[in-house]
Amino acid sequence: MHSSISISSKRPRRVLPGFGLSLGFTLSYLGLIVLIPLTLVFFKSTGLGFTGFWKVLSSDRVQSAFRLTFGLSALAGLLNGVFGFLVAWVLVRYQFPGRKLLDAAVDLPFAMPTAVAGIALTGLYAPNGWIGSKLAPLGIKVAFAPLGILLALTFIGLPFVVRTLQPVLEDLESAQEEAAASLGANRWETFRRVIFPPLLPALVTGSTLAFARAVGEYGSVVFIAGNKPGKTEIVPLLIMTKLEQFDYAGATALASLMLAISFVLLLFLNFLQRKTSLSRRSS
Amino acid sequence: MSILVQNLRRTFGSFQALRGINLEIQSHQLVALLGPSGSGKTTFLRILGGLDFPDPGHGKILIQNEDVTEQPAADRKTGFVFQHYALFNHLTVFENVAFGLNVRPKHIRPNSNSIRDRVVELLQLVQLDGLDQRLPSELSGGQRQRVALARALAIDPRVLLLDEPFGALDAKVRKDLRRWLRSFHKEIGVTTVFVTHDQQEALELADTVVIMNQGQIEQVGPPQEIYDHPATPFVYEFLGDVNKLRKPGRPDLFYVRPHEIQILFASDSSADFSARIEHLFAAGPSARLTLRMPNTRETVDADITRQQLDEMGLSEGDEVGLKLATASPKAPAPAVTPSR
Repeated sequence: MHSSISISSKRPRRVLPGFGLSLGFTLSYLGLIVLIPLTLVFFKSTGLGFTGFWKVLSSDRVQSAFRLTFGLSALAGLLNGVFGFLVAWVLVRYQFPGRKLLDAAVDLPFAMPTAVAGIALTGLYAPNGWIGSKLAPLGIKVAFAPLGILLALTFIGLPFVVRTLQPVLEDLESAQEEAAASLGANRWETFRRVIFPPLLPALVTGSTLAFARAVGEYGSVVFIAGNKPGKTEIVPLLIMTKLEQFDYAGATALASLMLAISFVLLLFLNFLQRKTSLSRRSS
Repeated sequence: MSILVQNLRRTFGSFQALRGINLEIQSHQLVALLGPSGSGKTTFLRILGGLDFPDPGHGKILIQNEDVTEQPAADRKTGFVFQHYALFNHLTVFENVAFGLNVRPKHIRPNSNSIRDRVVELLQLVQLDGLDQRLPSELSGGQRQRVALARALAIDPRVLLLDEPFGALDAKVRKDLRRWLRSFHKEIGVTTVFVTHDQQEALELADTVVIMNQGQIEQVGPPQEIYDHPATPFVYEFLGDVNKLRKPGRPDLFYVRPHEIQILFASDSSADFSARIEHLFAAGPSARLTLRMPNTRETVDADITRQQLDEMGLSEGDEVGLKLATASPKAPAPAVTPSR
């Protein structure tokens, strides 16, 4: 009795009540929704043993699928970084008729089944499609080639960059740009030294999100990719293929590796987000 | 350096922010642009700094006889200090101050050693030595203001423009910084124009006060002259601490300052008015009386000495006589409508 009183009096007093309850809820919720299913994936793959695991991952087909998925996703993240920046810049900095409509259209890649996007893109870029038929004589093949996968991955990742950049762009003080100008900086120096640095953390965050999304993308890619093993086959498709062949252990081995890579990525992402919020607080 | 402004106009849509500004500012002066909000003073300052431009073909600005009307801010070499400082939050104090030197094209950029020397010198000048590695977020409001000042001075500006320099600071810091800026200006001697809506600040600090109202200049002159001889009813009222009076039996209004009213005993026959003391308060050597005129029901403020207050033995509710100290009222206000 005596000891319990002394313990409770040593506990630091908190201003906000309910820490224990809300943390408990958060842990069980995340556990049920995220952690337990994902742990099961790892658990399943352990049935292979280390050699079996290695055998699955070291096959040429798997390795080229990983290279393709992560390579194109990184490229799509970069592309979105560049062009998403441009879109966000135009939407925030200029006034023009139809701006609100365009702004709403940015979210569309989120709002529809990715398969629909995949079919639409394939229709456009197939050798007999609207755009594809113009590109074919130039020797540029989009659909059923890595370029088509890149296109789909860029499409579905665009909103991330635009939506993370917009609020930061809107918060920029125009007085800072005027200050730079009155100190003799030209437009380029002003952009490079004054406008861009505060945007950088948000830009990296947005691009990383777009990259992470692209790594896991399945629906839109399978239609446009052509899915030739070793050439245009992405990891999520390979996992599906293994599942269809009842190779559950092999599928989970691939999934485990993807999970591990994604987890490291998201840790990095969280770190960046914290940096963004810190630099915004100081402004 | 001297500034000459001729017939400057600026219109925003249908709103005329500036309607024909003419002004000449001598070298090395400290000039206050004083006016209520919406009077166009900030717009005027921004146009001087090249951050905004007059309506095409309406107005000319010369700095040291050079026409800079069309010159953008980056080429104008005017140091501009913004109301909320506009410091670069991701850069240290040192990098903020060095900014104007670092962005110069290579062939006229000083080498990094002379930039360093210049920044250290400027930070000493604004009494911020030792804080060069801090971020703006780690400084107080007054310190940020001085960083902004040092940053503007780094480019050796031809003129220094300050937009509400003390607007965002609390009263104590404001007073200290105001005193500091006065001596600072003496030391560096750069022609300086600052915007304020605080009449006391303008009168205490400036060599020349420019009073603006509704996009026009009402009066230009040294503070003492402006206070003693207001040119228009607007200036009279804007400088504050003034009574609007109507002589009995006459319709016109005129202005009189509290210290220009003599208080006499009610029985004194030389009094112009009679009134009742509604409130009195003595602080230091003078006392402020609030008097109500029985015939017009208007109130009037009057300042008398503590000594007179004691000698006359006045207290609230007493009937007294008022006499205007000056024989003829200054600046009668023909155009004033009594509706205000």
